[in-house]
Amino acid sequence: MSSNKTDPCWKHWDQHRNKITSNKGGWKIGDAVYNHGYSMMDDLIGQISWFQLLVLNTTGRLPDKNLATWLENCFSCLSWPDSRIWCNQIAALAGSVKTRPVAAISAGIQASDALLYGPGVITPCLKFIQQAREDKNQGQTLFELIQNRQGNNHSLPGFARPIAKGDERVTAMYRLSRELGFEIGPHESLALEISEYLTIQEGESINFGGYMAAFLADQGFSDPDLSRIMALWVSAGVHACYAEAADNTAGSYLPLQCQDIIYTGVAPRDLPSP
Amino acid sequence: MVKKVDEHSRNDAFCEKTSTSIWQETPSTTNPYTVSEARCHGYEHLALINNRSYTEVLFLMFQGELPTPEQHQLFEHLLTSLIHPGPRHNACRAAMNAAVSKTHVSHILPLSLNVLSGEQGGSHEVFQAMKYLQNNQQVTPRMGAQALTQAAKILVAQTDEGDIIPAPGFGTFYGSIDNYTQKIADNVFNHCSPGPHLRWAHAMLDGIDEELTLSWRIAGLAGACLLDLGFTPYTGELIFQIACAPGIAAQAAEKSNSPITEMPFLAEENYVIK
Repeated sequence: MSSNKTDPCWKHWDQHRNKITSNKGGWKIGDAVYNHGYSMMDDLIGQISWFQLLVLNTTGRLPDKNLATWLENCFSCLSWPDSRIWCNQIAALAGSVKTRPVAAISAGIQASDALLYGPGVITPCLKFIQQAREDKNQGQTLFELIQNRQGNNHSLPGFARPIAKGDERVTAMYRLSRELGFEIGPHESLALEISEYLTIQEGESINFGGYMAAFLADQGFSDPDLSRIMALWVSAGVHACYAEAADNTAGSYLPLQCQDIIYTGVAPRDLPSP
Repeated sequence: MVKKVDEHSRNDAFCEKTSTSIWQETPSTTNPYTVSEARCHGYEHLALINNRSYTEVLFLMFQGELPTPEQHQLFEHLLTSLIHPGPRHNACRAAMNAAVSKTHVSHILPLSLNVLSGEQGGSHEVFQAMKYLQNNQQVTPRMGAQALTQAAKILVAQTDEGDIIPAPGFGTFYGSIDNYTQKIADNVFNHCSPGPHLRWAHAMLDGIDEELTLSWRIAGLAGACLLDLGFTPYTGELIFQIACAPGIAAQAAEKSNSPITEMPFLAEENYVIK
């Protein structure tokens, strides 16, 4: 922002008052809808997938179909129709009080922005594997990479997971990566090395967030782009669990009797006089 | 085949500036983006801060005038009656569920209020109950009771499971009378000055066949109070969400430092895939 001493301190805001400047594109009525320079109706509709459009709109980069296919399958991997999963349960709870679909799905999506699973893990997973690669290039051993992190009482982002050990999604997506013709890149390679090391040492292994972050780091993705692309990561599972609960009788999703909540607070007492 | 749709702007006359009668900001002399004085419906904000309760200012914000002592008393009773929907309410369960799974704290209340927005046990039932009460104000309570009884008998004959709700806000709760909402209703009648909607609904419920076990649901009671206070169904639903928010937020806060195991995760044997 250019400024000089005579400019008021609010000049920056005045420049944006009643004006939108977009690099993304927009609707020119009677002309076209533009997405990063492409005419949507002429260049994109029927020619690219929704996932290609998602990445284009988010980052300005139009990925090839194989990468979009990989991303689409990556979304599928986090879309289990199991309402015990936290984000799915929230949508099911919403369905059971007959909340409208958009509110319920939004609630589930928001819940998934968590430190234990979902899009909330992307930033720490990316940071870890990117830093680990740099540290390894500087000569650190796998043992040092892991100890540096765990020794500070930090968990190892992208490795181990709640509820279960092992992660079948990694196996499936590793297979798909090769089927789509992607070679193993340096981040993926290091992530798999760490996983093998942890399996031998602690019986833990890479989780899906860790694999996804490493693979996509090799494809040139970084934060904040990746966190933005993955915001709806869990959506299809959330949709499923909302739909089932909303179809069932209101209140029939895991109903609780009063005694199903254990009260642990102070004993009943009288309200003091004002 | 249509190659190019003839697309023209409608040239709708959009306003150039947003208008509001609620809040007035007077710009400071040193920077037009900062505020020197704020007023709510003509009253200086600082004067309200120093001299009026939160409840009174909330009422003022929506109604344009400060409440009378009777309105203040009823509104205060209503807000405190609604302050916690109970830890078993799906909105509270969603909040606790998100808290233990380490959902970003910024999302907790929005996602829980999404769950609270449902039309059976949520805020939209309040909206619909208010519509029902408005539409029946010209009907005698006795006729209202007859219509409700008739509708309930049809529902009983048609419905195998779940609650019987012949009108939004009025029906069964877990298959019987909602005892606690009845207590809250009695409390309102004992400590406040009920208006025409509360009196109508009370008289209407008195005329219902006891065998049907229909009673106030919390949405009906809240809706009747809100109408007597001058709120519309639209504003009433918003007030209900604001009123319930503290209890929901507190439930999440209590669980914020708890491990994921502090909320039930249904065992494999209890999760049945048909």
